[in-house]
Amino acid sequence: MRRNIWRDVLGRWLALAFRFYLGGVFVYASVYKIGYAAEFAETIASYQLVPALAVNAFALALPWLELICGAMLVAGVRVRTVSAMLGALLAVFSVAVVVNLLRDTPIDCGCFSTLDERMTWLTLVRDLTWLAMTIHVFFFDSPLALERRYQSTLKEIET
Amino acid sequence: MRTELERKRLSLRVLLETAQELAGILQPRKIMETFLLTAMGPIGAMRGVAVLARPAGCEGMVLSRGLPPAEAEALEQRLPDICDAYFPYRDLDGDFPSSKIRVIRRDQAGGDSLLPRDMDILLCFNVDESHCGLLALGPLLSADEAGAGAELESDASTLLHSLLHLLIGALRGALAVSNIRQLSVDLGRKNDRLTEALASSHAVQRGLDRRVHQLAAVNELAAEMAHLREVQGILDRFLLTMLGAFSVGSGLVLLLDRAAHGVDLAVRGAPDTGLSGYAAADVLVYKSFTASGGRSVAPLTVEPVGDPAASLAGSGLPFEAACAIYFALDRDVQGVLVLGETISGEALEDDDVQMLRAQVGTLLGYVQGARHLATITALNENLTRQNEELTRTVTALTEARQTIDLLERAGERVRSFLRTEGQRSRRFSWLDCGVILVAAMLLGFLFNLASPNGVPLVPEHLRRPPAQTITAQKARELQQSEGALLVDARPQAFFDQQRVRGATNLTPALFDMMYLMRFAQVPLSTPLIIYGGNISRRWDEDVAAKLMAREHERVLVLEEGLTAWAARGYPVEP
Repeated sequence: MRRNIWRDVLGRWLALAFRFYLGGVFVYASVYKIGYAAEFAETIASYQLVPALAVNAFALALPWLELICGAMLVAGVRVRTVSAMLGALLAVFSVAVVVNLLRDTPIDCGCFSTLDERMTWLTLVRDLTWLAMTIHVFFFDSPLALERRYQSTLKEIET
Repeated sequence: MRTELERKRLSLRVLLETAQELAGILQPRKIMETFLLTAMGPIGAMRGVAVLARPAGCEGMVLSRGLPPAEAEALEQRLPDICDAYFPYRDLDGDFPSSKIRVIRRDQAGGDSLLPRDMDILLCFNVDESHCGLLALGPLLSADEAGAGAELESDASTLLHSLLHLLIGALRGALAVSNIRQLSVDLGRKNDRLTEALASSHAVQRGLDRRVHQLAAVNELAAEMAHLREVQGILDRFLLTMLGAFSVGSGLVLLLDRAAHGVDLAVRGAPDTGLSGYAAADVLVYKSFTASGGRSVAPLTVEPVGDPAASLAGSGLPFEAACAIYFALDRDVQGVLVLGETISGEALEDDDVQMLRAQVGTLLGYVQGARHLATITALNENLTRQNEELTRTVTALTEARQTIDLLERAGERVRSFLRTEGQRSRRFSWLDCGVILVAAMLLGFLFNLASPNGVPLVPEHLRRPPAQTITAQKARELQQSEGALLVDARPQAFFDQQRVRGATNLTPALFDMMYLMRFAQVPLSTPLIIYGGNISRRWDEDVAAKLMAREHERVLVLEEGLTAWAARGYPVEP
């Protein structure tokens, strides 16, 4: 019994906590970027990884992607798909961070605003931590998901 | 000889006188009496009996002279026996023996005991085809002289026969006159009877004419009422026909329906005095019922109302009732037909009343048919309404069934959707990824269109002609020969990290401020060499464009930037 409780705590409930945390982080991170797309475009450009033609498009789409995925993660809709997408984003961010850390590029992370602290290896650790959380969320089914209403509704209909 | 002549003369004289006596007499009895009185003298008889009879009926008359009254009366009582004895051929129906006068000897007569004893002469004679006569005379005065049983002399016999012929002739004439008189009387009676019969036949003819008129009207009524469907119309038509058929000036027919609490009234020749109201109609019908003598209301009852003028008085009739017929269709539907005086003022005869009664019976049939038709029509309408309701119900049920099917299909689709969504929520989907990406792009681009802080999708340096470039070597030469200024277009952090020695930082973001601070005094002819581009941003191009906009004459972009500069070993800092 205790084993099951721990399994639940470390599995479902921890996944729920990760969902809320990651979703909140991404929603929060997206708000500033959406409002100041030009500055975010400069941040992307400072990474020197995206072609010039795609920088502005990235700056426009990426914050909305973070907002949608964060909101869906909090709401519990398409949790696996969203967690996979956020994981992919975090992986890309991590690679970008690694590349620029190796280049010794003097830039900020730009994760939340243009006035972030200078990007360091801790930034990479943070991203990897978030990546691990997304992986946990991907593999563990969590409660309080909006899509679970489908199953309960289906049961109500069938009964 | 002279005696002989005298005797003949006397006989002729007797005959003449007798003929004169009998000439003016027309009654047979009087003739017979006169003949007896006249004949007994010349013949010399003391008593005489004369019988005139009709053998077929054993009737006639018996006259006598010289007999005691009792014997004369007894003789009259024996007339049938005399007929049987002396006229045995009465059954021959008028076919009497041809000889008119028969002299009967007393010993030959069967009825010898019927006549007085001393009758010496018996003569039977035929008067006509139906009358016979008997003459008995005696005793003769000459017989007293000659002894009993003396016979009549030939002269006397001849005289007697002649007298008899006179008698027969007189009787024939009298009987003929009598017959003629009787015939005249009979003819008068028959004439009277014929006159009465003619009057009666005229009356019958009038009655028949009236009946034919009534029957024609009734026939016409039947033809017309056969097409009527409503009770009110039938009553109107019936009343009109009855008034015409019986020559009545005013009348009404009323039908009271107690179950439906309704009154149907038809009035002609008089105003409606409120009988169409239920209460007044009920009173009239009740009075009619009580006056008709009925004790219970049997279906299809038709009874005349006795003394309608008195019994229906005070019922609100607009005219004086001369004839009334109470009728009942059933226990609930009753009515009355009331007719006023005829136009001629004569009362309706019993036959008319019976005819009227029969017609009311016919009316009941039509009214019943109309009511049945109304009931059937109502039932049909009810059935039609129920059919329509059923049709609507069936339609509604069909629609409901279709709706249920639709809802079931929708429910199945919802279940399928929920099942699919439930399953999909548990697994990774590339489709969802694509949808989320497209949604993010669309939202981003749409928001960018409306946002005041929007950015162009295509970088601006791609939309203008590229600035003139210069290699690192020529740039170095130009720096040394003409004092060209090197401008670092990168952000401050990059500039601080590494830069061309002597380069000035001028970023596109802070261009205006930095330009005023650092380049306001720089002559426009001074060559400006800009570097700081990378894969993501051509800051050098942007700054070059801005400097050219400030009318600097020689603005050059360093090919491959700081990397090429440093690679040639040109001085950088720090």
